[in-house]
Amino acid sequence: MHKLAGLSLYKNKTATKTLNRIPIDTFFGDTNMKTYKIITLGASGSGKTVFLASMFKALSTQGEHSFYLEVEDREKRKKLNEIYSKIITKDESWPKGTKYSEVSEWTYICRVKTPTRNDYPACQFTYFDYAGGRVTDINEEDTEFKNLVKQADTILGLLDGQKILAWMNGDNRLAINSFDNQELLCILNWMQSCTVPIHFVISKWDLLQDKYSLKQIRDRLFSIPKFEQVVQSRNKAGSPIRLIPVSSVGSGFATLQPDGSMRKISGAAFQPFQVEVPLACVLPDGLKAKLVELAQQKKQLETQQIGKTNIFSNFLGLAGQFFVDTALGFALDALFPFLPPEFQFTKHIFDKVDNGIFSSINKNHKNKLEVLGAEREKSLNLVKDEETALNHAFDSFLYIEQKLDRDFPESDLLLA
Amino acid sequence: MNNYNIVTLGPSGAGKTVFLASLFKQLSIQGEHGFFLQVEDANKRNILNNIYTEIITGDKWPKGTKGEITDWVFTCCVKTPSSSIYPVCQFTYIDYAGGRLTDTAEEDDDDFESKVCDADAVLAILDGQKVLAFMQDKEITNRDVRIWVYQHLPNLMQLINKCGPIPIHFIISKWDLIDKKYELLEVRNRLLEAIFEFRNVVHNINQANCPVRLIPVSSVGMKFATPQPDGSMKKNFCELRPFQVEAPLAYVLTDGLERQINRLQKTGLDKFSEQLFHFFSNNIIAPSTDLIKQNLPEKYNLENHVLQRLVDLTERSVQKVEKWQNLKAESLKKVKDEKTALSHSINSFRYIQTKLINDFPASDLKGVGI
Repeated sequence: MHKLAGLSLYKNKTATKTLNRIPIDTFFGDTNMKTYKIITLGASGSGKTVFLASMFKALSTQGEHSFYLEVEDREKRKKLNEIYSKIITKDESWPKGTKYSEVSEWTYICRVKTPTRNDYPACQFTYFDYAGGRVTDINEEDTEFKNLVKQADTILGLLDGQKILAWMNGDNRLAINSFDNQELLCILNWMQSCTVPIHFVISKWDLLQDKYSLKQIRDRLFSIPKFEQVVQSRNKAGSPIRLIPVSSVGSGFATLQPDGSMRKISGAAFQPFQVEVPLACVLPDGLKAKLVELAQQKKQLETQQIGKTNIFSNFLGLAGQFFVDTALGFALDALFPFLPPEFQFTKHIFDKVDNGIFSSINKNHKNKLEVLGAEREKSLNLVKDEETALNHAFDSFLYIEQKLDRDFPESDLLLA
Repeated sequence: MNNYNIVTLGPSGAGKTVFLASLFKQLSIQGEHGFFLQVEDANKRNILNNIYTEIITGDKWPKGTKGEITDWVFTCCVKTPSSSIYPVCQFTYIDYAGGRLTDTAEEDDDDFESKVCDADAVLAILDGQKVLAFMQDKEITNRDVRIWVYQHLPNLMQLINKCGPIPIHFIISKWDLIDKKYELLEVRNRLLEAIFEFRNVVHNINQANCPVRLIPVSSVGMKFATPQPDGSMKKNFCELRPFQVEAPLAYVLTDGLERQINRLQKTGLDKFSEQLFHFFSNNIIAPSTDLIKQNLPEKYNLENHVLQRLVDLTERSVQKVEKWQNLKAESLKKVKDEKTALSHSINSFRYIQTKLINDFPASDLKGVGI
């Protein structure tokens, strides 16, 4: 059903005025804690579960990112601790893969601790972690899995860094075929029907970082037609798509053995790298995608209603980033009421859209990271309830996202 | 009588129960500290005594309190030279069963978390034996050390992370094992450097301007026990001389009051802020306590003269142990009721605090990590 179709308001100017008179503040600050669903796609052994355990450990106390994660479910917390124990002890093997029949849900509550030690929940992230075989063993009848993918707010495609290394090296035919023709294609097949933001996460970045740059890997990925197609389609839809390098254990924790196994190094420090980044990108990217989607639907409705194109329609019809940059600000007020509840944020957050935070025009602003850092600091001091906690968390997410853009500009898969 | 809740956290074997038994034994009779502790519940008194007896006579150490949360209520009293006894206040230690921090298979701990958040202070016990192993293992290669560093301690820090604006004392138990091998400053720096969760928590507590300390204690004293190759502790059965077990308790009242004053300042009461301007300046004129009293919770709403002393900067800046020793001796002679008993107790607490700061300046983590 067309999101805006139920509204006959667009049929005449008077009705449009009625819509515009709905106070924006009415739609801000939904009182239920907002929950975001993220489904992780990735082959067996790509590191999905280890990533989730590592992310929790890295963010279980509030530090430089000025928020932290809590897992309320006691059994889940125990499981994450067990996974983590296996990782950190040298004489233990790596955690076993998730069983085929198992689809685990991991719910993390994002919380903010204020400078006065008060504590407020901001939002929830639910990760759906499942057996990698479900991706690579395509089963058209896997309705449960299909439904999960459809419900997601973000899709996380985990690309096994170990396999990418072999693929880039070109020295292991089996590994190349496995990654190229099976693993990656399967992930892309699941993604092609999605409309939500996509994050390709390169796991085990510690194996790659000294050998290949992200740009080299990105360029090589773009040589795969299907990959380029998926990226192009997301670009056209104005939906963010990223390539994010992460390491669940950090540099020097393990080394790759000739037989393909990973040997843990005695005494290596556990220093996860960028495990917080995919989570941080969920809200900003999700909001952007929703706004663009609504704006496009609005345009479509108007075109249907008016029956002819006009200057405005042509203007909105410009695809890609330019559309996002200009149309968002223009149509923002009108779009607010139609956002799903989990994206009905406060004015504090929507003002960021107005201020062009999402805009690629401002992307390379020299002092953007400092500005975002200062805003994050400021909003932390204003936290006094769940709503302001979410405002602050959003600022933290923007900061992390901007840091990713600064450190890995190639991570934003925007085709020129 | 005012009651102050203190929650002790720590994994199994860290020494919480032995610490409490030792604390009671050390302070059950009034001595150099000028006050003593009573346990009115006869059953609990027997348990503590039995634990102590087991320490000094038994071949083994007391078992951990797995599966229980036990409240231990200590009444702080003062005995005058004429043998009159006056109660001052109560301290309730909530002894947290260590297993919950290492094995999340325990029962639902929601009740416990609410107790932590209602506490006046939290004592997080760091097992001195583990700390020693950590200090000796520079590369963190040993399996048990890795589990302690990357799992047990972070679990502890996650719990402390949830606490509100209350003082946190990290107690290094079994200091007798570490003494003469490492300075407290070395231990502190290593903890901050190697364990980012510890660093985060200390930073956050400091940001909130809450007291946070690292206090070395020994429940049995130097030379009572020696570590064995298998990790156990062999008793030498020499004299028991608990070391600094009274220090954490000595801070509860004064830290709590300081926290309340900080809170009132932040709520921005105009008149109070004006008073605090003088309070926090170097002006030796003591602020009026009336305005402070109006806004304090009952358990910190002490007598004027006591409040006055606690907020008086000039008094707090006195760092000479002998000065406090003399003040303590003098005030004991003047105890004639509960009010003067409280005033005297504060001198005793200040004496203990000053002694700690002088002997272990690294114990105060204020400003660290900011």
